[in-house]
Amino acid sequence: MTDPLLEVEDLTVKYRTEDGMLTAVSDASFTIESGEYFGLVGESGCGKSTLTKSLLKGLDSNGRITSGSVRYKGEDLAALSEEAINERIRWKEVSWIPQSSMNSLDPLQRVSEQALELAAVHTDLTRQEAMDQFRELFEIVGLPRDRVTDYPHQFSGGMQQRAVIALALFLDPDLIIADEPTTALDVIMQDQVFKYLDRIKETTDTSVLLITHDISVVFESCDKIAIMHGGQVAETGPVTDLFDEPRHPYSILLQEAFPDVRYPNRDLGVIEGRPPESMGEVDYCTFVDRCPWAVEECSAHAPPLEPVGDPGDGHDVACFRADEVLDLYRAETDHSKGANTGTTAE
Amino acid sequence: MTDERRPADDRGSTDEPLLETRGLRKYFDQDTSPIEFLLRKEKEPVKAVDDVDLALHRNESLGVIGESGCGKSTLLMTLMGLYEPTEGEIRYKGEDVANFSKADWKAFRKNVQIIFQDPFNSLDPKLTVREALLEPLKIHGMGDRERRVKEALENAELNPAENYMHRRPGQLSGGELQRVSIARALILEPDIILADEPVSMLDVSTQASVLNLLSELIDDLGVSMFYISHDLSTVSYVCDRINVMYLGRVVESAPTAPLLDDPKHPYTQALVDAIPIPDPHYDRGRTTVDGTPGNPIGMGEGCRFQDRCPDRMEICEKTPIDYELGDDRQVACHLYYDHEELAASEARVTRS
Repeated sequence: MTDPLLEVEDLTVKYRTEDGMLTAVSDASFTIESGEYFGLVGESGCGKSTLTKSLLKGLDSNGRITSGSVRYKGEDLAALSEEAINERIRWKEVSWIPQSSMNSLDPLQRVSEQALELAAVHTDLTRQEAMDQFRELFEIVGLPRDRVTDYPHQFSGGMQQRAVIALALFLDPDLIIADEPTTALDVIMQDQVFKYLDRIKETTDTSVLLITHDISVVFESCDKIAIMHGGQVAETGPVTDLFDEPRHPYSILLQEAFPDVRYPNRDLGVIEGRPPESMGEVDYCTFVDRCPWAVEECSAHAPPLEPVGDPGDGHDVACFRADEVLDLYRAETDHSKGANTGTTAE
Repeated sequence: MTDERRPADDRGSTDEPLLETRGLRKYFDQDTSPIEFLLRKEKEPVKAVDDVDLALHRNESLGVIGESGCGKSTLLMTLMGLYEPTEGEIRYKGEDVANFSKADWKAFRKNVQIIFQDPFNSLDPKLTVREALLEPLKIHGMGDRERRVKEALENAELNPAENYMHRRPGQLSGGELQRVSIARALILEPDIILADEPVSMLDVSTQASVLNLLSELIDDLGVSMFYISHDLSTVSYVCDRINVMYLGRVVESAPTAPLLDDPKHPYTQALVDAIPIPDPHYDRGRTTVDGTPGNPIGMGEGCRFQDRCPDRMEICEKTPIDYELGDDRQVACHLYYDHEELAASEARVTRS
């Protein structure tokens, strides 16, 4: 078996603070295969940004990986030096689409100059070849070819975001990390951006790690999902599995909280409380205080992330009651999300 | 104060709108450089709000939906009296606010309260919750303050109220902060609440509870609400009626459920169709609308959506009227009526 594209295993990230060591990510694991679109979902403070920053040594100076590993094509990224990551990994292998494109393009440089600079550092392409390639990418993301020489301010917000996507695609990376790429955009523009990401999925083998708070976007655009709460991966697997058969209380309740414009009269769920800030060792489930089905064990140990359902489909859950919570939930409510939820009695 | 000049909150009968705009326009002048000034170059104004008619009735919750730049925030600021209208009227209980005296404005500011988008920055970090709620009571000289503070907190579902009174904003979560903002708005017993995207900065796990709270307030306390948002997927929980705004104009107005179920204006259709659906088995298809709204500058006659509209026709170069579709729905789109015929019949009426 070949190595997966990105394998995050038992990753723990801590920040040094005045009050001691803050655990932002604890024992997080998930895997992204080649060509896969993977959504990392959670509320603010769940650790998704910290986890993402830690992948390519982008943590703030008081943060560090204390245990676990991040392997890209089998190679441990945490062991590489900053220079090696810059030279070999960034842009060429893994590129980045940040949330705010306004701040990620150099306002004093034409967009094409920023692309040519990347080409000069990382490739043997001539200026002309690089320019031609970049023009082609502009077309793929739905921007006019002749506007590659524009300055960032000449584009609208949505167009800037697409220009950043073109830059991220430019060196043909195998993985694109997109951190809330459409959160600042209106719905129609968001849909335009995902239309081009769909097209990239059809035409290339590039994988995307999409970080977002919006589970709807992940359900529509990704193959797999990981739901994080309080620094722990609560559940991960194919999006259809997490929709049809969610096994973690947080996955169930989070889905219940999302509005669905098809059913404007459905009651929205509320999850009481908020994710905790965990100091020191996290030897409990971070959802315990918000969970309606918590038992004693949940505060005594951190539940391990273990496979459920059919072996090999990659559906993992970290809950001691993973086998029963969905039935408990369904027994307590008569909600049914629609025809597609497998509400057949078991 | 004569008999005719009663304070603003005593005026009006029950059937007329509580708050109403008629032909409201707010234009902004663009900056002119010294050279342009010397050359006497006139710049086109930014037509942020352009001929908007709205009516908020008692116990109603009216939504204005649109993308960033559609003019919804300018509309709100103009309603609050922070911007002077360029043209048109704002009527509160039948009275044009342009004729308001200082006392009328003070009454208006008590009766019309605001909830802002960002709960993290709309409360003074140095004031405790109790102090933040006492301040408006002092300004408006209302007595029985301790009871009112407690009641407002309880109405905003901050229970038990004593637990929250002495906390400062830094010690509260986003959802709790927004409830404090709601309590602060309620404490003066207003008849209108203007809400500017009150849940857009909250996490989805608390969003629903704030939406539910707002909608209960309308029913239980008899408050009317003017609700502004870009998010069509949550408005159905709060609003009875929706106005869709595009580049300064209302393009469609309808009761919420029919609007979401069967949007008429091509722009409303595009907005509804672009909302992500939290269901991996459902394929809604990506949007077919290209481009971005642009700016409402130097726009001549015609429908403002025509450049992006999938159903564009030649007649769209003429500005559409607000056409009555029946069932309490209006749409400003040529797909639903014959402009030429209407113009001809109107001309006949004027001649006769």
